[in-house]
Formats: sequence, C-alpha cells, structure tokens
Amino acid sequence: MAPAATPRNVAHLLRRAAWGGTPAEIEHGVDIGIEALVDELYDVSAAPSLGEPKAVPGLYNFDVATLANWFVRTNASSSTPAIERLMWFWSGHFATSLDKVNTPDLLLLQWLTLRHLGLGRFDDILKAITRDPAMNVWLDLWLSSVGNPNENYARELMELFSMGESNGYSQADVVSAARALTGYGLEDLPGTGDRPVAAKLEPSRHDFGDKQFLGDIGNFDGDDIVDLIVERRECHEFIASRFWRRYAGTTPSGAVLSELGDAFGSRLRIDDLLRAMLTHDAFYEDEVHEGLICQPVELVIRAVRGFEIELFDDERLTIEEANDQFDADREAGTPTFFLPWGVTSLTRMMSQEIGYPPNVAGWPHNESWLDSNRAAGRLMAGIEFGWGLLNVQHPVGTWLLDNFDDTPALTAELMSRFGVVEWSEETDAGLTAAYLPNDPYQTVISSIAVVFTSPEVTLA
Amino acid sequence: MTRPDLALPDLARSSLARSNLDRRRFLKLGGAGLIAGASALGSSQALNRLALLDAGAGSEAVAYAPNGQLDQAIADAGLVLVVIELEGGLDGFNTVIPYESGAYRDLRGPGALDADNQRVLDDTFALHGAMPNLARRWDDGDLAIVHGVGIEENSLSHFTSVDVWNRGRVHSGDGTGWIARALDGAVADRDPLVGVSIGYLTPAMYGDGWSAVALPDDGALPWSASFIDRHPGIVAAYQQMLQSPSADDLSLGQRVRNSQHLVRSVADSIGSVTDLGSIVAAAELLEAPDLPDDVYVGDGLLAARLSMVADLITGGLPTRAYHVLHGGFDTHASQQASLPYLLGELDSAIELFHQALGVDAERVIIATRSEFGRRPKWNGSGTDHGSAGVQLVVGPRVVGGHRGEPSPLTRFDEDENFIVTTDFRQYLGGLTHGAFGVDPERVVPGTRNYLELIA
Repeated sequence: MAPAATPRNVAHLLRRAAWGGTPAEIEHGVDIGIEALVDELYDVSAAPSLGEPKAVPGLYNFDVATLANWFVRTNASSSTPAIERLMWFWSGHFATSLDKVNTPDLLLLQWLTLRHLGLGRFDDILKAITRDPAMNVWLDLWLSSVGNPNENYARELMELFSMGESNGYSQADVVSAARALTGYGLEDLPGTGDRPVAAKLEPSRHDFGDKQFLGDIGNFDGDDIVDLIVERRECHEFIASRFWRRYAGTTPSGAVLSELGDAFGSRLRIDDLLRAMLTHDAFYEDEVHEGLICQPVELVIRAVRGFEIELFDDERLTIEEANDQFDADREAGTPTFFLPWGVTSLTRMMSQEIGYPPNVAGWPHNESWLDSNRAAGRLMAGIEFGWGLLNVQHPVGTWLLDNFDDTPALTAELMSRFGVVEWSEETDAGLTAAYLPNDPYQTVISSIAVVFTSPEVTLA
Repeated sequence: MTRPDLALPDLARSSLARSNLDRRRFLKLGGAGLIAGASALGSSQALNRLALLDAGAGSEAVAYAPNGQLDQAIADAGLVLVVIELEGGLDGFNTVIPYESGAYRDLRGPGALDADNQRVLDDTFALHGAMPNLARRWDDGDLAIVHGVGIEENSLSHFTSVDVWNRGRVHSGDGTGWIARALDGAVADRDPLVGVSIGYLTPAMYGDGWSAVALPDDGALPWSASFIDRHPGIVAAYQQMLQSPSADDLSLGQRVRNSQHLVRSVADSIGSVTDLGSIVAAAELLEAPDLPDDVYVGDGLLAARLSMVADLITGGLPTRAYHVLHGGFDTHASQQASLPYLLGELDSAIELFHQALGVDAERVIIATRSEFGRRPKWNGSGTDHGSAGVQLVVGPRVVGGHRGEPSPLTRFDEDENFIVTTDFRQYLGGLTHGAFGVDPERVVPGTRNYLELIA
C-alpha cells in the first residue's frame, strides 16, 4: 500500500526530493497520490536541457562565484527540481573540490555529465566518472601508469563511490584495481590552454598484465573493474544506503536496505532505486520526517526558489560587469535579483562553499551542521537573507512589510515559502515575541531569521 | 602594550612582533565586508575584560606575572593543549629522515631527499629541510619526535582512521571524543569554552551530553553579542524559545534549538573576554615584507588560524584545548612539489604562534596528529596510504628527544607498510596525562606504557 498522501507527507517528499513545494504543488500531490507524484518528479521529458551554459566553454572562463550562481539558479528555477536535486546528490557522492582541480569549467562539466546520466544505469555513471577530467585531476588518476600505479582513485572508487569501506574487498583488490586503472590520461592537461574533454586509455601507460580482482583473474581495465563491482550485492546495498542517508537522513533498517538493494540491483537503474525509496512507507515515518538537517546550499536553494527570487542569469558577463548592472538596476528602481556574491556569501557564511567539499567523502551530515560556528552562520545568513530581500524591494518582502503586524499570517507565509506546512507552538511563540510594534523592518528581518533557523526549516 | 623579550631573539626583534604585523586580506576568504555589522565589531568589550581580570581566571594575569610566579600561575590556570591535525596522512618518512639508511634511498628513489634538503638532528635522523625553526627547537630540547605512531588494526581509509583517532578508541560505539573525555577529567564544570575547535567542531571534542565550541577559521563571522543585540526581534524570540536547552532530548529538532542557544551564550562569552577586533584581524593573511629566510607563511591559513588561537589564549579564554586543521597531506601525487610547502607552513606557523603568545607560550603544548603515515615505497610521484608515522610535540614544557621506537626499515606489514611500534593511544595518553594531569586509562583505555611527553 502506498504511503498516505497527506499534506504533511507530500510537503516532506517535495522538500526532500525537489527543494520544497508551493501550496498549489502540495495540493496537487495530495490529489494524485505519492506514487504518481514521484513519477511526475522524475519525468525527464519535462526536464529542460541545460546543455552548456552561455559562457564560451574553455578553461578559466568561469570563476567560482559564477559557477555557484549558475548552480543555485539552475536548481531554484528548474521546472524539474527533482532532477536538479539528484545532480546535487551526485555532486556530493563524487565530491570533487576546486581546491585541487582549480578549474570551475571542469567541475561544471562533471555536474552536467552527472545530470545527464544521473537517473540511468549506475555502471554508466561509474564509467563516465572514471573518465571525467575533474575527477582524474582530483584523485590523481591521470598520473597513474604501469609500474607506478597510484591507489588514490582505485581506493575511493570502492570505499566511497560503490561498495563501502572494506565491504567485500581487500587492500589487494585496491592494488589490482589501481593497476587496471593505469593509463587513463587526459587528452589535454589542465593549464595547457585546451579543455580536456575526457580521459582516454593510453596503451603505452596501461598495465596489460593479469590482475586478480574480487576473486576473478584477467587482463582488466577500468571498465572491467566497474563491471565486476556493480555485480556485487555489497554495491547494491551500499548505493541504497547512500541515497537513504542523503534523502531520508537516518540509518535504514536492514530490511529496508535489503528491499532497496533488490529494487536497484535488478537493473542497476537509479530511477528504480529512487522510486522504491520515495514510495516506501519507511520514508514517511516520524523518525525520517525529523531525520535530516538541511545543508546550507540546500537551504539557500529552497529560499531562492520559495521566495521566487530571480538570480543573475547571464554567464557572459563578468562578475564586475554584473555588479555594475546590479547597481544600475537598483538606481533605476528595478532591482530584481541577488548578485552572484549574494549566493556565494550566504552559503559561505554557513560554512559551505559550492565547489569546495571538505574532502572526497563529501559534505558533512546532520548534527555536524549544528556546531556553534555553523549555527551562528545560519543565524547571520538568515539576517542577511532578510536584509537582502527587503533591500531589493522584492514583492514578497513588500508583502511581508505590509503584513508585519499580522503575526499568524506572517508566520504562515514564511513557513509556506520554505515548503513547511506544520510548526510547533514554541516556534509560534518565538515569532509572536519577534513582533515589534512600530518597526515593520526589524519585525520582518527578525521573523525571517527566526524561521530560517527554526527546527521546522532547518530539518529538511 | 609591551611584552617581555622572548628566547627568540631574531624573530622578536624583527618586524614580526605582533604589534607590527603587516596584514593583508586573504582573497579567497574575502567577503567579510558583505556581512552587515562586521565593521561594528571590536568595541565595547573593555568592561567585560576588566570583570574577567577581577575574577582572576584569565591568562592576562599570567602574561604579566613576574617569572617567579609563573609556575604557580600555570598551576592555577593549567596547561593549554593545541592539537594541529595534519589532514590526509603525514609522510613521516620524509619528515623525519633516517638519512644514513640505504633502505631509505632504495624505497624512496627519486622521492628521497638529498642532504641539501635536510637538517641533521643527530647520528641517525634529519628533519625535513623545510623546518629550520623546529630543528632549532630540537637543539633547545623543546621538540619531541614520536616514532612509529599508528593504529594497530590499521585501516587505509582516511575516514575510518580519522574516526578512530577522534574517538581515541577502537571497536567502540562510544560517540564521544578523546579530547572531550580528557576535559571531563581536567575541569570541574562543563563550560563549552573549555574546548575550542577552529573551523568545524572536531569529533575529538564531542562530549557526553555537552558540546565544545567551534569558531570560524577565518575570523570573518561577527561573533558578537552586540551583533545579535542589534536585532531586538531576534533577541526577544530567542528568549522566548530558548529558555531551557535540553540535554536529554537528543532529537535533531531539539539539537537545532540547543545549537542556537549555544551560539547566544558563546557570543556573550567571547565578547566578554577577548578583543574581537584582533580576532577579525586574524582572518587576514600575515605578510611581513622582510620575512626572515627561515619563515615561510605559504597560503597563510594555518598561520592565521594559530594567530587566532594566540589571541584567544592571551585574551584569557578558559580554554584548555584547541584544535586546528592543516590540510593537504594526502600526497599521492606531486609530493615533491607540495610537502616542502606544507611542512614549511607548519614550521613557520608554529614559530609565529609562539611569537604571538609571548610568555603564554610557557603554558602551551603543541601536538600534531595525522590519521596515518604513508607507504614506504614511492609510487612514481608520491606516496599512497600507509600505517605508522611520526608525530611532533613542541613547547617549552615538552621533554625533547626521540619517543617510541622507530619502525623497522626492512620489515613491513602485509600491506607493505611500516609496522606500528607506538599505539596511537600511548601517544594520546601521554598528551592527556601531560597536558591535563588526567589518568590516561580514563580517556584512551586499552593500552599501556603511555609516553612521557611533558614535564
């Protein structure tokens, strides 16, 4: 039996899988039910083709702020937010940092590859990521050659990307995989002026000897290694657990994991796994409703989307030109977007920089986001967000100012903008206390900050 | 404000003295100016600072005490442990080099350091040449080199190894960290500020029912009560919502509320004991035009983080343990291009840190930790994950010299890695006992022969 399509459950599904729903979207979900809604969410025929962004592709064209702005805008404005949400999942699963890659273009290329393949077969995804230029630089694969295998990529391929640490493989398997993965050189190395499109196997640098891997012996290359990995039950359950962790937040029971592993393993398709997970009763248990802390980037995307904020959308402009444009628009009285640095500074304030995951294991999880530094950052970002909304005379901000003395309406409006349909008496009492007669500006900024940091919004 | 001369004559007379530091903004971390209110920081803490001095709890009293009273002051205030986590796995083999050994040259091949890039310590070992200041501290007896440190049931996973180091335990479901447990034994009350982590909160400071404090690593966030106070609606709302943080309800929702409560109380405390302006300044990269040849600041991140810690220590926080990150040690590739810089940054940042501490350096112990050492055999351009490695302990109170047995150079474990001769708990236990006077068995149980590292 399908989970009940209550407003609470539908709002939960839309927050976890699609950056939150508007009241109309939630009502629609209640009407058609969870299963039909999940089908709609992953209907790729509705997905916009992102293709290449407008900037001329080439090394060093994108700066980090532009990349971050592109990412948030793409997510916030998409007609298929679940597809973009999945791209965000994959970008964290294969966490690659510009700290070492240094070339935002290459990271963008990786994300577009992941978006393109993300709903399909997992072995296709692994083979593509093995050839991905940003990944090759990030985990040193392009430097690994016969006689001198570099274990960096081979280890994380199994530990973090497909099987889980020591879950059905040994250090000897890592060594064998590293040998099989020698010779994947980049066609054009970073810094030489041309953009590397993909890595290819260079025979002169590849180890053609026999390798023993997961019990099989053969003259394996990287694709063979992937094929051997994805046959494994450990891989099916591990991938299911990674999705559960980032969509549900909790630790799944063995029974749920086994079911999801079956659903995924039969065809190795990610859309099978997502459907099984998001229509599973366990996904709608109270523990899961309260089981996931919204990451800062996710919170900013939800805010930009929920408040219908139009972001700067022309990657042909440099950031300086965009700044000038913004100032001119503001003077003309028609400021309608946040600047690129608005996105970057908001997430950075909360200790998350798009394109800079802390390490290959990806972004922190749940209570790690609640230490005093990050909690302070959320409060500051909430204030900054409220300030920005009023500063650009955004229509939602204007509505909030006009209704500042109607606390229940103000509260309901703010919660709704974050896709939240139920909240606690405690939060209600806090927002009542935030009301300052005679000071609409302070009342609205404080209320936004309180909602921004409330458990109802902080829990995704 | 003048400080007594230190035993670092060259540096003390250079333009590196704190008051003369020429700082420039580190661009990657820029954007602080975008935060409303950032410019309003750094004022109005004078009253609270006086209150602290009256209470006698601050290190200001220590800093200006005549030398004869210093021991007593340290006994009262306690030693401060500053842990520097060398993220990624330090290559001990090229950090402390058995320079006379043929095995070293055979294993490392083109990655072996030549004599020009070594600082000889004694008949057997040399320090990497990028660390001249630490070499001098070795000569002064202020540096302990701990050999063969690792986890017996070694994992080659960063994340598993880091987790074991943080917990200070193996095979344990205990989610608390070793530093938090040590602090439980060292101080009677659980003021969260007894432990401060720069950047994110290290799990080594996860307490049982309490949380230590994480502070921003770039100093850019306006950590001040006055900032929050500028928004009376938020103050009123939080007073309403956060009256009783619950330590019993561990639901994520309650943790969200608790975290905001902690922000509020820490903002009050930080504002009351430190010159916030100087913390903000610590975000700016140190730049001294006439930097001596043997000081290399690099990207300035570690130096800035330690500068912030120095501000907090000299500012008088009741903190007994700090945790600071120094990243980039996962040198699978291009190790020859990166390791010298990483070690140079470490060496110089420690030197500048001591400089900034003034006489407070007397009560500070600096100790490194790293999740594992690296593979003895060179992989062509770097080194893959290994097991045993070296750790360094620095400070006037440190018992200088070699600690632990060096791993054999010709006999390895089944994965061709160095054999662990010093269990990581012997090392952490030595720090626990030396810095906090706490019985290591209560903190990192399960081994014996804790190292004597601190006098």
